Amino acid sequence: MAMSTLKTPVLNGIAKRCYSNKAAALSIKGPDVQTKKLPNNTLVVAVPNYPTKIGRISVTFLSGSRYEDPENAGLAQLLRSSAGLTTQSSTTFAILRNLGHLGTNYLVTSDRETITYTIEAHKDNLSSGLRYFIDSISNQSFKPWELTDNLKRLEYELLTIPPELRVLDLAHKAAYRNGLGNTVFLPKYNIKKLGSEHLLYYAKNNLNSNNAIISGVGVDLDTLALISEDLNLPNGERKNVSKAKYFGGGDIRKSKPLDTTYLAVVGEGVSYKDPQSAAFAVLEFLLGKGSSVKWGVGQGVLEQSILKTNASENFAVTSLNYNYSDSGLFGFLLAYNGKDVSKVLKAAVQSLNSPTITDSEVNRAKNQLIYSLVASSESGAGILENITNQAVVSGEVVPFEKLIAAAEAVSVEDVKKAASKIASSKLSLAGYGNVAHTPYLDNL
Amino acid sequence: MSIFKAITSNVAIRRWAYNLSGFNRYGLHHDDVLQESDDVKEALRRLPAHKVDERTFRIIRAMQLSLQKIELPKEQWTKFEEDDRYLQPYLEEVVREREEKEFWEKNYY
Repeated sequence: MAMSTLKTPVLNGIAKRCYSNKAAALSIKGPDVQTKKLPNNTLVVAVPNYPTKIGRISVTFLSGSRYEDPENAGLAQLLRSSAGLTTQSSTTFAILRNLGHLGTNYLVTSDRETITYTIEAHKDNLSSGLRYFIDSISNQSFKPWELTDNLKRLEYELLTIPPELRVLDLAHKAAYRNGLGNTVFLPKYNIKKLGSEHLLYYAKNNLNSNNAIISGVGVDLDTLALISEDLNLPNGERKNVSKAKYFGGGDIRKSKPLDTTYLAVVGEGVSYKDPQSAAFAVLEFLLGKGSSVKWGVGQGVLEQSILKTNASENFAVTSLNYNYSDSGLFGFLLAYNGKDVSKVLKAAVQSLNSPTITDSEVNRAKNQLIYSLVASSESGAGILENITNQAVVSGEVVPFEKLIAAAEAVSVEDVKKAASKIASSKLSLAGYGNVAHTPYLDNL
Repeated sequence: MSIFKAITSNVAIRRWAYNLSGFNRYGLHHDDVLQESDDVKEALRRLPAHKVDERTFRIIRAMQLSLQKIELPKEQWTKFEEDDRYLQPYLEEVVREREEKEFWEKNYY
Protein backbone atom coordinates (compact mmCIF):
# COMPACT_ATOMS: atom_id res chain seq x y z
CA MET A 1 0.00 0.00 0.00
CA ALA A 2 2.64 2.46 1.02
CA MET A 3 4.64 1.69 -2.08
CA SER A 4 1.74 2.42 -4.38
CA THR A 5 1.24 5.85 -2.84
CA LEU A 6 4.89 6.60 -3.36
CA LYS A 7 4.42 5.93 -7.08
CA THR A 8 2.40 9.11 -7.56
CA PRO A 9 4.84 11.60 -9.11
CA VAL A 10 4.55 14.37 -6.50
CA LEU A 11 5.10 12.15 -3.49
CA ASN A 12 7.83 10.32 -5.29
CA GLY A 13 9.73 13.56 -5.67
CA ILE A 14 9.40 14.39 -2.00
CA ALA A 15 10.45 10.94 -0.98
CA LYS A 16 13.52 11.08 -3.19
CA ARG A 17 14.50 14.42 -1.75
CA CYS A 18 14.07 13.10 1.81
CA TYR A 19 16.07 9.95 1.20
CA SER A 20 18.95 11.87 -0.33
CA ASN A 21 19.01 14.62 2.24
CA LYS A 22 22.33 14.28 4.00
CA ALA A 23 21.83 17.40 6.09
CA ALA A 24 18.90 15.63 7.73
CA ALA A 25 21.23 13.13 9.32
CA LEU A 26 23.52 15.87 10.61
CA SER A 27 20.70 17.91 12.10
CA ILE A 28 19.70 15.10 14.45
CA LYS A 29 19.79 16.56 17.92
CA GLY A 30 20.62 13.93 20.50
CA PRO A 31 19.52 14.26 24.11
CA ASP A 32 21.41 16.59 26.44
CA VAL A 33 24.10 14.70 28.40
CA GLN A 34 25.53 16.00 31.69
CA THR A 35 28.57 14.57 33.43
CA LYS A 36 30.16 15.29 36.76
CA LYS A 37 33.01 13.85 38.78
CA LEU A 38 31.98 13.54 42.43
CA PRO A 39 34.46 14.23 45.28
CA ASN A 40 34.63 10.48 45.96
CA ASN A 41 35.88 9.94 42.39
CA THR A 42 32.65 8.44 41.12
CA LEU A 43 31.74 9.54 37.61
CA VAL A 44 28.11 10.54 37.25
CA VAL A 45 26.40 10.77 33.86
CA ALA A 46 22.82 11.88 33.41
CA VAL A 47 20.35 12.50 30.60
CA PRO A 48 17.74 14.35 32.66
CA ASN A 49 15.49 15.80 29.98
CA TYR A 50 14.66 12.68 28.04
CA PRO A 51 10.91 12.58 27.36
CA THR A 52 9.99 9.44 29.26
CA LYS A 53 7.97 8.38 32.27
CA ILE A 54 10.48 5.66 33.09
CA GLY A 55 13.53 6.47 35.17
CA ARG A 56 16.55 4.30 34.51
CA ILE A 57 19.61 4.16 36.71
CA SER A 58 22.77 2.12 36.23
CA VAL A 59 25.55 1.62 38.73
CA THR A 60 28.60 0.30 36.91
CA PHE A 61 31.86 -0.95 38.37
CA LEU A 62 35.09 -1.52 36.50
CA SER A 63 35.28 -5.06 37.77
CA GLY A 64 34.62 -7.34 34.84
CA SER A 65 36.46 -10.52 34.03
CA ARG A 66 39.69 -8.74 33.05
CA TYR A 67 40.25 -7.82 36.70
CA GLU A 68 39.98 -11.40 37.93
CA ASP A 69 42.82 -13.42 39.33
CA PRO A 70 43.69 -16.17 36.83
CA GLU A 71 42.94 -18.77 39.52
CA ASN A 72 39.47 -17.43 40.14
CA ALA A 73 38.30 -17.40 36.52
CA GLY A 74 34.58 -16.78 36.25
CA LEU A 75 34.26 -14.91 39.52
CA ALA A 76 32.73 -11.91 37.75
CA GLN A 77 29.96 -14.08 36.36
CA LEU A 78 29.35 -15.55 39.80
CA LEU A 79 29.12 -12.02 41.21
CA ARG A 80 26.56 -11.10 38.57
CA SER A 81 24.58 -14.25 39.16
CA SER A 82 24.55 -13.58 42.92
CA ALA A 83 22.91 -10.18 42.59
CA GLY A 84 19.72 -9.86 44.60
CA LEU A 85 20.62 -12.47 47.19
CA THR A 86 20.17 -11.71 50.87
CA THR A 87 22.15 -8.69 52.00
CA GLN A 88 23.15 -7.51 55.43
CA SER A 89 19.84 -5.73 55.89
CA SER A 90 17.25 -7.23 53.54
CA THR A 91 16.43 -10.76 52.53
CA THR A 92 16.29 -11.86 48.92
CA PHE A 93 12.56 -12.31 49.39
CA ALA A 94 12.20 -8.67 50.45
CA ILE A 95 14.31 -7.41 47.57
CA LEU A 96 12.43 -9.36 44.91
CA ARG A 97 8.93 -8.85 46.27
CA ASN A 98 9.31 -5.16 47.00
CA LEU A 99 10.91 -4.38 43.66
CA GLY A 100 8.26 -6.48 41.93
CA HIS A 101 5.49 -4.80 43.89
CA LEU A 102 6.71 -1.40 42.72
CA GLY A 103 6.72 -2.60 39.13
CA THR A 104 10.45 -2.14 38.67
CA ASN A 105 12.88 -3.96 36.48
CA TYR A 106 16.14 -4.94 38.11
CA LEU A 107 18.84 -6.36 35.89
CA VAL A 108 22.54 -7.01 36.15
CA THR A 109 24.85 -7.35 33.19
CA SER A 110 28.56 -7.93 33.00
CA ASP A 111 31.25 -7.99 30.37
CA ARG A 112 35.03 -8.03 30.18
CA GLU A 113 35.43 -4.60 31.73
CA THR A 114 32.36 -4.01 33.88
CA ILE A 115 29.51 -5.23 35.96
CA THR A 116 26.38 -3.08 35.74
CA TYR A 117 23.40 -3.01 38.09
CA THR A 118 20.38 -1.37 36.44
CA ILE A 119 16.99 -0.45 37.79
CA GLU A 120 14.08 0.74 35.65
CA ALA A 121 10.85 2.05 37.12
CA HIS A 122 8.12 4.60 36.74
CA LYS A 123 9.54 7.85 38.08
CA ASP A 124 6.99 7.92 40.93
CA ASN A 125 8.13 4.52 42.18
CA LEU A 126 11.82 4.84 41.52
CA SER A 127 12.81 6.39 44.85
CA SER A 128 11.07 3.70 46.92
CA GLY A 129 12.68 0.98 44.84
CA LEU A 130 16.12 2.53 45.23
CA ARG A 131 16.39 1.39 48.84
CA TYR A 132 16.51 -2.26 47.82
CA PHE A 133 18.55 -1.53 44.71
CA ILE A 134 21.25 0.25 46.71
CA ASP A 135 21.17 -2.39 49.42
CA SER A 136 21.70 -5.20 46.94
CA ILE A 137 24.79 -3.49 45.52
CA SER A 138 26.74 -2.22 48.50
CA ASN A 139 25.64 -4.54 51.30
CA GLN A 140 25.98 -7.93 49.69
CA SER A 141 26.68 -10.72 52.15
CA PHE A 142 26.79 -13.86 49.92
CA LYS A 143 25.30 -16.43 52.31
CA PRO A 144 26.90 -19.81 51.48
CA TRP A 145 23.60 -21.72 51.42
CA GLU A 146 22.05 -19.22 49.02
CA LEU A 147 25.03 -19.56 46.71
CA THR A 148 24.58 -23.34 46.80
CA ASP A 149 20.87 -22.93 46.03
CA ASN A 150 21.83 -20.69 43.14
CA LEU A 151 24.09 -23.29 41.53
CA LYS A 152 21.30 -24.91 39.52
CA ARG A 153 20.42 -21.60 37.94
CA LEU A 154 24.07 -20.89 37.26
CA GLU A 155 24.49 -24.26 35.55
CA TYR A 156 21.41 -23.57 33.46
CA GLU A 157 22.85 -20.19 32.52
CA LEU A 158 26.08 -21.86 31.40
CA LEU A 159 24.24 -24.48 29.36
CA THR A 160 22.28 -21.87 27.44
CA ILE A 161 25.28 -19.85 26.29
CA PRO A 162 25.05 -19.86 22.51
CA PRO A 163 28.07 -21.26 20.58
CA GLU A 164 28.73 -17.94 18.86
CA LEU A 165 29.40 -16.35 22.25
CA ARG A 166 31.62 -19.27 23.23
CA VAL A 167 33.72 -18.80 20.11
CA LEU A 168 34.05 -15.06 20.74
CA ASP A 169 35.27 -15.87 24.22
CA LEU A 170 37.89 -18.22 22.75
CA ALA A 171 38.89 -15.54 20.24
CA HIS A 172 39.64 -13.14 23.11
CA LYS A 173 41.69 -15.84 24.77
CA ALA A 174 43.65 -16.41 21.56
CA ALA A 175 44.23 -12.70 21.06
CA TYR A 176 45.05 -11.47 24.57
CA ARG A 177 45.94 -14.61 26.59
CA ASN A 178 45.24 -12.89 29.94
CA GLY A 179 43.53 -9.72 31.13
CA LEU A 180 41.02 -9.08 28.36
CA GLY A 181 41.57 -12.72 27.38
CA ASN A 182 40.04 -13.95 30.65
CA THR A 183 36.90 -15.91 30.01
CA VAL A 184 33.63 -14.17 30.87
CA PHE A 185 32.01 -17.54 31.56
CA LEU A 186 32.46 -19.45 34.78
CA PRO A 187 34.51 -22.56 33.88
CA LYS A 188 33.11 -25.89 35.09
CA TYR A 189 36.14 -26.63 37.26
CA ASN A 190 35.57 -23.47 39.26
CA ILE A 191 31.85 -23.88 39.95
CA LYS A 192 32.36 -25.75 43.20
CA LYS A 193 35.56 -23.97 44.14
CA LEU A 194 34.39 -20.36 44.19
CA GLY A 195 32.28 -19.46 47.17
CA SER A 196 31.32 -16.87 49.67
CA GLU A 197 34.84 -15.85 50.70
CA HIS A 198 36.02 -15.36 47.14
CA LEU A 199 33.01 -13.19 46.38
CA LEU A 200 33.34 -11.11 49.56
CA TYR A 201 36.99 -10.46 48.81
CA TYR A 202 36.34 -9.61 45.18
CA ALA A 203 33.42 -7.32 46.04
CA LYS A 204 35.43 -5.56 48.74
CA ASN A 205 38.31 -4.90 46.37
CA ASN A 206 36.34 -4.00 43.28
CA LEU A 207 33.01 -2.50 44.22
CA ASN A 208 34.37 0.81 45.48
CA SER A 209 33.71 4.43 44.68
CA ASN A 210 36.85 4.87 42.59
CA ASN A 211 35.69 2.21 40.18
CA ALA A 212 32.06 3.30 40.06
CA ILE A 213 30.13 5.04 37.32
CA ILE A 214 26.54 6.03 37.98
CA SER A 215 24.43 6.83 34.95
CA GLY A 216 20.78 7.62 34.53
CA VAL A 217 18.17 8.49 31.93
CA GLY A 218 15.17 10.54 33.02
CA VAL A 219 16.94 11.26 36.32
CA ASP A 220 18.93 14.40 37.14
CA LEU A 221 22.53 14.70 38.30
CA ASP A 222 21.62 15.59 41.90
CA THR A 223 19.60 12.41 42.34
CA LEU A 224 22.49 10.34 41.04
CA ALA A 225 24.88 12.14 43.41
CA LEU A 226 22.50 11.26 46.27
CA ILE A 227 22.57 7.63 45.19
CA SER A 228 26.33 7.72 45.36
CA GLU A 229 26.04 8.99 48.93
CA ASP A 230 23.53 6.29 49.86
CA LEU A 231 25.66 3.58 48.31
CA ASN A 232 28.38 4.66 50.72
CA LEU A 233 30.96 2.63 48.89
CA PRO A 234 34.41 2.12 50.38
CA ASN A 235 37.06 4.39 48.95
CA GLY A 236 39.35 1.67 47.67
CA GLU A 237 42.24 2.24 45.35
CA ARG A 238 41.80 2.13 41.64
CA LYS A 239 43.47 -1.03 40.48
CA ASN A 240 46.63 -0.62 38.49
CA VAL A 241 45.73 -3.15 35.88
CA SER A 242 48.36 -3.71 33.25
CA LYS A 243 47.57 -2.37 29.81
CA ALA A 244 46.00 -4.95 27.54
CA LYS A 245 48.54 -6.42 25.17
CA TYR A 246 47.50 -7.96 21.88
CA PHE A 247 49.52 -11.10 21.18
CA GLY A 248 47.84 -12.59 18.14
CA GLY A 249 48.79 -15.75 16.37
CA GLY A 250 46.73 -17.78 18.83
CA ASP A 251 44.74 -20.70 17.47
CA ILE A 252 42.22 -22.11 19.93
CA ARG A 253 39.57 -24.61 18.97
CA LYS A 254 37.13 -26.72 20.89
CA SER A 255 35.28 -29.67 19.42
CA LYS A 256 31.65 -29.92 20.40
CA PRO A 257 28.90 -32.20 19.14
CA LEU A 258 27.38 -29.58 16.86
CA ASP A 259 26.75 -29.71 13.11
CA THR A 260 27.92 -26.20 12.57
CA THR A 261 31.44 -24.80 12.66
CA TYR A 262 31.72 -21.50 14.48
CA LEU A 263 34.86 -19.57 13.67
CA ALA A 264 36.11 -16.20 14.80
CA VAL A 265 39.11 -14.53 13.21
CA VAL A 266 40.37 -11.32 14.76
CA GLY A 267 43.26 -8.93 14.34
CA GLU A 268 44.27 -5.97 16.46
CA GLY A 269 41.73 -3.17 16.37
CA VAL A 270 41.72 0.15 18.18
CA SER A 271 40.61 1.38 21.57
CA TYR A 272 37.49 3.49 21.86
CA LYS A 273 39.41 6.74 22.36
CA ASP A 274 41.64 6.16 19.35
CA PRO A 275 41.08 8.76 16.57
CA GLN A 276 40.75 5.88 14.11
CA SER A 277 37.81 4.30 15.93
CA ALA A 278 35.23 6.00 13.66
CA ALA A 279 37.00 4.62 10.57
CA PHE A 280 36.99 1.16 12.13
CA ALA A 281 33.27 1.46 12.83
CA VAL A 282 32.66 2.31 9.17
CA LEU A 283 34.90 -0.57 8.07
CA GLU A 284 32.87 -2.87 10.31
CA PHE A 285 29.67 -1.97 8.46
CA LEU A 286 31.48 -2.10 5.14
CA LEU A 287 32.46 -5.70 5.79
CA GLY A 288 28.88 -6.37 6.79
CA LYS A 289 26.90 -6.75 9.99
CA GLY A 290 24.58 -9.45 8.67
CA SER A 291 21.44 -8.86 6.69
CA SER A 292 19.18 -5.92 7.42
CA VAL A 293 16.40 -7.74 5.57
CA LYS A 294 14.83 -10.76 7.22
CA TRP A 295 16.07 -14.07 5.75
CA GLY A 296 18.20 -12.11 3.30
CA VAL A 297 21.90 -12.39 2.60
CA GLY A 298 23.77 -9.28 3.69
CA GLN A 299 25.32 -6.83 1.26
CA GLY A 300 28.59 -6.63 3.14
CA VAL A 301 31.90 -7.35 1.46
CA LEU A 302 32.34 -10.51 3.54
CA GLU A 303 29.03 -12.07 2.51
CA GLN A 304 29.53 -11.22 -1.14
CA SER A 305 33.03 -12.66 -1.24
CA ILE A 306 31.87 -15.91 0.37
CA LEU A 307 28.96 -16.18 -2.07
CA LYS A 308 31.48 -15.91 -4.93
CA THR A 309 33.28 -19.08 -3.77
CA ASN A 310 30.24 -21.14 -4.84
CA ALA A 311 30.31 -22.97 -1.52
CA SER A 312 27.02 -23.90 0.08
CA GLU A 313 24.82 -21.08 1.24
CA ASN A 314 24.64 -22.56 4.73
CA PHE A 315 26.65 -19.78 6.28
CA ALA A 316 26.29 -16.68 8.35
CA VAL A 317 28.97 -14.07 8.75
CA THR A 318 29.27 -10.80 10.58
CA SER A 319 32.16 -8.48 11.19
CA LEU A 320 33.36 -7.82 14.73
CA ASN A 321 34.65 -4.61 16.18
CA TYR A 322 35.44 -4.49 19.88
CA ASN A 323 36.64 -1.19 21.32
CA TYR A 324 37.89 -1.57 24.87
CA SER A 325 39.40 1.16 27.01
CA ASP A 326 42.99 0.42 25.99
CA SER A 327 42.82 -2.00 23.09
CA GLY A 328 40.49 -3.45 20.52
CA LEU A 329 39.74 -6.39 18.29
CA PHE A 330 38.57 -6.36 14.70
CA GLY A 331 37.62 -9.34 12.60
CA PHE A 332 34.70 -11.53 11.73
CA LEU A 333 32.54 -14.30 13.08
CA LEU A 334 31.64 -17.08 10.68
CA ALA A 335 29.22 -19.96 11.07
CA TYR A 336 29.33 -22.61 8.38
CA ASN A 337 27.75 -25.99 7.92
CA GLY A 338 29.72 -28.15 5.50
CA LYS A 339 33.02 -29.84 4.78
CA ASP A 340 34.49 -27.21 2.46
CA VAL A 341 34.85 -24.77 5.35
CA SER A 342 38.44 -24.00 4.38
CA LYS A 343 37.31 -22.48 1.05
CA VAL A 344 34.86 -20.21 2.86
CA LEU A 345 37.26 -19.27 5.62
CA LYS A 346 40.00 -18.42 3.11
CA ALA A 347 37.64 -16.17 1.17
CA ALA A 348 36.57 -14.40 4.35
CA VAL A 349 40.14 -13.89 5.58
CA GLN A 350 41.09 -12.68 2.11
CA SER A 351 38.40 -9.98 2.24
CA LEU A 352 39.33 -9.09 5.82
CA ASN A 353 42.92 -8.50 4.72
CA SER A 354 42.12 -6.64 1.51
CA PRO A 355 38.47 -5.60 1.32
CA THR A 356 37.16 -3.81 -1.77
CA ILE A 357 36.76 -0.24 -0.59
CA THR A 358 34.85 1.91 -3.05
CA ASP A 359 33.01 5.20 -2.61
CA SER A 360 29.61 3.60 -2.83
CA GLU A 361 30.48 0.84 -0.35
CA VAL A 362 31.84 3.39 2.13
CA ASN A 363 28.70 5.47 1.72
CA ARG A 364 26.51 2.45 2.33
CA ALA A 365 28.52 1.55 5.44
CA LYS A 366 28.31 5.11 6.75
CA ASN A 367 24.54 5.19 6.29
CA GLN A 368 24.16 1.90 8.14
CA LEU A 369 26.43 3.10 10.94
CA ILE A 370 24.51 6.36 11.33
CA TYR A 371 21.24 4.47 11.28
CA SER A 372 22.43 2.20 14.09
CA LEU A 373 23.58 5.21 16.14
CA VAL A 374 20.28 7.02 15.65
CA ALA A 375 18.30 3.88 16.35
CA SER A 376 20.08 3.37 19.67
CA SER A 377 19.31 6.97 20.65
CA GLU A 378 15.59 6.32 20.17
CA SER A 379 15.02 4.38 23.38
CA GLY A 380 15.85 5.23 26.96
CA ALA A 381 17.46 1.84 27.46
CA GLY A 382 19.60 2.35 24.34
CA ILE A 383 20.78 5.76 25.52
CA LEU A 384 21.58 4.46 28.98
CA GLU A 385 23.62 1.64 27.52
CA ASN A 386 25.43 3.99 25.16
CA ILE A 387 26.38 6.64 27.75
CA THR A 388 27.39 4.00 30.29
CA ASN A 389 29.59 2.24 27.79
CA GLN A 390 31.21 5.49 26.69
CA ALA A 391 31.89 6.50 30.29
CA VAL A 392 33.48 3.11 30.95
CA VAL A 393 35.83 2.99 27.98
CA SER A 394 36.78 6.66 27.71
CA GLY A 395 35.84 8.33 31.00
CA GLU A 396 33.74 10.92 29.17
CA VAL A 397 30.54 10.99 27.16
CA VAL A 398 30.32 12.38 23.65
CA PRO A 399 26.79 13.43 22.65
CA PHE A 400 25.06 11.61 19.81
CA GLU A 401 25.29 14.46 17.31
CA LYS A 402 29.07 14.47 17.64
CA LEU A 403 29.23 10.71 17.20
CA ILE A 404 27.18 11.03 14.05
CA ALA A 405 29.35 13.91 12.83
CA ALA A 406 32.44 11.78 13.43
CA ALA A 407 30.92 8.98 11.36
CA GLU A 408 30.04 11.48 8.61
CA ALA A 409 33.59 12.78 8.52
CA VAL A 410 35.18 9.41 7.75
CA SER A 411 36.73 9.43 4.29
CA VAL A 412 37.52 6.56 1.94
CA GLU A 413 41.22 7.05 2.74
CA ASP A 414 40.54 6.64 6.48
CA VAL A 415 38.76 3.35 5.88
CA LYS A 416 41.61 2.15 3.65
CA LYS A 417 44.10 3.02 6.39
CA ALA A 418 42.06 1.07 8.94
CA ALA A 419 41.90 -1.92 6.60
CA SER A 420 45.65 -1.86 6.04
CA LYS A 421 46.19 -1.80 9.79
CA ILE A 422 44.21 -5.02 10.11
CA ALA A 423 46.08 -6.57 7.20
CA SER A 424 49.40 -5.86 8.89
CA SER A 425 48.38 -7.26 12.28
CA LYS A 426 48.82 -10.87 13.31
CA LEU A 427 45.48 -12.66 13.17
CA SER A 428 44.08 -14.98 15.84
CA LEU A 429 41.65 -17.80 15.21
CA ALA A 430 39.12 -19.50 17.44
CA GLY A 431 36.88 -22.41 16.54
CA TYR A 432 33.93 -24.02 18.30
CA GLY A 433 31.62 -26.85 17.34
CA ASN A 434 32.40 -29.09 14.39
CA VAL A 435 36.02 -28.03 13.82
CA ALA A 436 37.18 -31.25 12.11
CA HIS A 437 37.76 -29.60 8.73
CA THR A 438 38.91 -26.21 9.91
CA PRO A 439 42.30 -25.20 8.49
CA TYR A 440 44.98 -23.83 10.80
CA LEU A 441 46.03 -20.20 10.88
CA ASP A 442 49.33 -20.72 9.05
CA ASN A 443 47.49 -22.43 6.18
CA LEU A 444 45.30 -19.43 5.48
CA MET B 1 6.02 -11.42 84.49
CA SER B 2 8.90 -9.53 86.00
CA ILE B 3 9.37 -12.24 88.65
CA PHE B 4 9.47 -14.85 85.89
CA LYS B 5 12.02 -12.76 84.02
CA ALA B 6 14.12 -12.33 87.15
CA ILE B 7 14.13 -16.08 87.68
CA THR B 8 14.94 -16.96 84.08
CA SER B 9 17.74 -14.46 83.84
CA ASN B 10 19.42 -15.62 87.01
CA VAL B 11 22.47 -17.62 85.99
CA ALA B 12 22.48 -19.86 89.05
CA ILE B 13 18.86 -20.86 88.51
CA ARG B 14 19.45 -21.41 84.83
CA ARG B 15 22.42 -23.64 85.54
CA TRP B 16 20.34 -25.62 88.03
CA ALA B 17 17.56 -26.08 85.48
CA TYR B 18 20.06 -27.00 82.81
CA ASN B 19 21.58 -29.74 84.92
CA LEU B 20 18.13 -30.94 85.93
CA SER B 21 17.03 -31.43 82.31
CA GLY B 22 19.50 -34.28 81.99
CA PHE B 23 20.51 -34.28 78.32
CA ASN B 24 23.94 -33.00 79.25
CA ARG B 25 24.67 -36.33 80.95
CA TYR B 26 24.74 -37.88 77.47
CA GLY B 27 27.14 -35.19 76.21
CA LEU B 28 24.44 -33.46 74.19
CA HIS B 29 24.15 -29.70 73.68
CA HIS B 30 20.99 -27.68 74.04
CA ASP B 31 20.57 -27.31 70.27
CA ASP B 32 20.99 -31.05 69.71
CA VAL B 33 17.65 -31.78 71.33
CA LEU B 34 15.47 -29.21 69.57
CA GLN B 35 12.24 -30.44 68.01
CA GLU B 36 13.02 -30.81 64.33
CA SER B 37 10.46 -28.35 63.04
CA ASP B 38 10.69 -26.94 59.51
CA ASP B 39 12.58 -23.95 60.88
CA VAL B 40 15.15 -26.15 62.60
CA LYS B 41 15.53 -28.30 59.50
CA GLU B 42 16.22 -25.21 57.40
CA ALA B 43 18.66 -23.86 59.99
CA LEU B 44 20.49 -27.21 60.01
CA ARG B 45 20.77 -27.04 56.24
CA ARG B 46 22.55 -23.71 56.57
CA LEU B 47 24.87 -24.83 59.34
CA PRO B 48 28.50 -25.28 58.23
CA ALA B 49 29.35 -28.92 57.53
CA HIS B 50 31.80 -29.43 60.41
CA LYS B 51 29.21 -28.26 62.96
CA VAL B 52 26.67 -30.67 61.51
CA ASP B 53 29.22 -33.49 61.82
CA GLU B 54 29.88 -32.66 65.48
CA ARG B 55 26.15 -32.60 66.14
CA THR B 56 25.63 -35.94 64.45
CA PHE B 57 28.47 -37.46 66.45
CA ARG B 58 26.96 -36.27 69.76
CA ILE B 59 23.52 -37.57 68.84
CA ILE B 60 24.81 -41.01 67.80
CA ARG B 61 26.86 -41.24 71.00
CA ALA B 62 23.80 -40.33 73.06
CA MET B 63 21.70 -42.97 71.29
CA GLN B 64 24.35 -45.58 72.02
CA LEU B 65 24.55 -44.55 75.69
CA SER B 66 20.78 -44.58 76.00
CA LEU B 67 20.63 -48.05 74.44
CA GLN B 68 23.15 -49.35 76.92
CA LYS B 69 21.32 -47.61 79.78
CA ILE B 70 24.47 -45.80 80.85
CA GLU B 71 25.69 -42.20 81.07
CA LEU B 72 29.00 -40.55 80.28
CA PRO B 73 31.50 -40.24 83.15
CA LYS B 74 30.68 -37.06 85.03
CA GLU B 75 33.72 -35.09 83.82
CA GLN B 76 32.49 -35.51 80.24
CA TRP B 77 29.01 -34.11 80.89
CA THR B 78 28.29 -30.92 78.95
CA LYS B 79 28.71 -27.98 81.31
CA PHE B 80 26.21 -25.13 81.25
CA GLU B 81 29.00 -22.67 80.38
CA GLU B 82 30.29 -24.83 77.55
CA ASP B 83 26.97 -25.19 75.73
CA ASP B 84 27.42 -22.91 72.71
CA ARG B 85 23.87 -22.92 71.27
CA TYR B 86 25.41 -23.13 67.82
CA LEU B 87 22.09 -23.17 65.95
CA GLN B 88 20.52 -20.05 67.42
CA PRO B 89 21.86 -17.40 64.98
CA TYR B 90 20.76 -19.51 62.02
CA LEU B 91 17.43 -20.32 63.62
CA GLU B 92 16.71 -16.68 64.38
CA GLU B 93 17.41 -15.77 60.79
CA VAL B 94 15.15 -18.53 59.47
CA VAL B 95 12.33 -17.48 61.78
CA ARG B 96 12.75 -13.85 60.76
CA GLU B 97 12.57 -14.77 57.10
CA ARG B 98 9.46 -16.90 57.65
CA GLU B 99 7.73 -14.13 59.57
CA GLU B 100 8.58 -11.67 56.84
CA LYS B 101 6.96 -13.98 54.27
CA GLU B 102 3.88 -14.44 56.46
CA PHE B 103 3.59 -10.70 56.97
CA TRP B 104 3.82 -10.12 53.24
CA GLU B 105 1.25 -12.76 52.41
CA LYS B 106 -1.15 -11.39 55.01
CA ASN B 107 -0.88 -7.79 53.85
CA TYR B 108 -0.36 -7.89 50.11
CA TYR B 109 -2.55 -10.72 48.83
